[in-house]
Amino acid sequence: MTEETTTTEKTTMNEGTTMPEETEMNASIERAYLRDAGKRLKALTPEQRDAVLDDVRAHFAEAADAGRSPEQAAEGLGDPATFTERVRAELGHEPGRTDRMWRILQWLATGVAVFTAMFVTYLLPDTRGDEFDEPGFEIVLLHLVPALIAVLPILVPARARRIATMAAAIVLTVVSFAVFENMYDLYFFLPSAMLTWAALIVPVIARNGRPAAGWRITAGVLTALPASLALVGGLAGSWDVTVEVVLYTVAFLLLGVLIALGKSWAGIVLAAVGVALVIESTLSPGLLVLGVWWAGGLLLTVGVSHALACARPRKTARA
Amino acid sequence: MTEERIATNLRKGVLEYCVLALLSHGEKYGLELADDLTTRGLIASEGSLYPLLARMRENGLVEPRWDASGTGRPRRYYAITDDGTDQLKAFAQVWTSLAAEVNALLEGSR
Repeated sequence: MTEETTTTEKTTMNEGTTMPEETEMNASIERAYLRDAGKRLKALTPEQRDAVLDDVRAHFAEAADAGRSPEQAAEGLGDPATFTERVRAELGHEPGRTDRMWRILQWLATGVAVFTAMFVTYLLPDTRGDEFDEPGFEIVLLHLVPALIAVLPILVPARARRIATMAAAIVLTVVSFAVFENMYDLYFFLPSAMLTWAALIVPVIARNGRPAAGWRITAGVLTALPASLALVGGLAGSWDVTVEVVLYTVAFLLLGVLIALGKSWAGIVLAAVGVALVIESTLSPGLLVLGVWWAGGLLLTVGVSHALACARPRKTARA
Repeated sequence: MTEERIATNLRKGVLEYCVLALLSHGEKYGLELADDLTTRGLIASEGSLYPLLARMRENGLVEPRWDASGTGRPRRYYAITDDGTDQLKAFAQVWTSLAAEVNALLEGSR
């Protein structure tokens, strides 16, 4: 191919627009494109992202040399959403990534709801010293309703998935706080509601890669919340402030910082702690059983959500 | 409509080798490559080229470099790598035999 002639035609300036202003406007179109594309490529490794943005920068420069306006250069690339979608597809990311996050969280919500149903139906009345009769079939079925609600979004067609997840999250939250004929046990279903909310929110905030700092800081704060509340409770005189309580609080604060920094493994550690807390409260339910259960559910939800959202992008296997 | 669909599917499979073939004659900058491919009807716009280049770069088939020797802003030139050259040779062999087979079949069906 012959070397392209690089005519440096000047684009017509608008009346009343000075040259520096026009140059600034041109640069701002390029900057806006780069900023938008950069945000949408966070799922890539920094090296991959930088290389693609270098291509975009070079494209604007080469287009200008060829006498094309920045608008024409941007038009040639397509809008940033479509362009970055193509880049991610070529590099082997997406579209399964956000779908996987949603699916894992929703199945987890269902699993936790089944576990909760077993706990409140069989273990809780027994250990609480209630007059314990073999629970009737209708009670077992009733306690499995939240699990059915949680699994529903997985069963509906893909196009109805988001709305079904939202409906499930709302219904599970309402059910968790509802009191039917002295059935306070429904409070234990709140972790399922939390996981369903996470299934709704996490795929959205992590669709372009690692969530923004605000989300990670929120997750970090939630991580440190239960231990901090325990410490505050101790300081207020509800129970003794032991060295253990202080150490746990410090450990959770550290974990919260790591989460805010976006370390995905910290999410896995947190989720494991959450599961341990839930199992602990199942095996030896004390006065604070519900508080420990909720704390476990919260840590599990935040941990899994964080680990999924901040997981390192997979390298492409395509050759 | 059917013709366009067939052409789109075939282009998808051969586009990266067309890029390698163009680069085998010498390095080219992005817009130059894009214009050449657009003129030949292989891509619709530059928006399809850069994502493809990203994958080819990732797979070590092409290598970019900045060139600031011109008067304007620096250009980003792409060159074919040794791996790219090997891939192109392999493709050329497959294409030659495949094209011959397909042509023979089409001749026979007329």
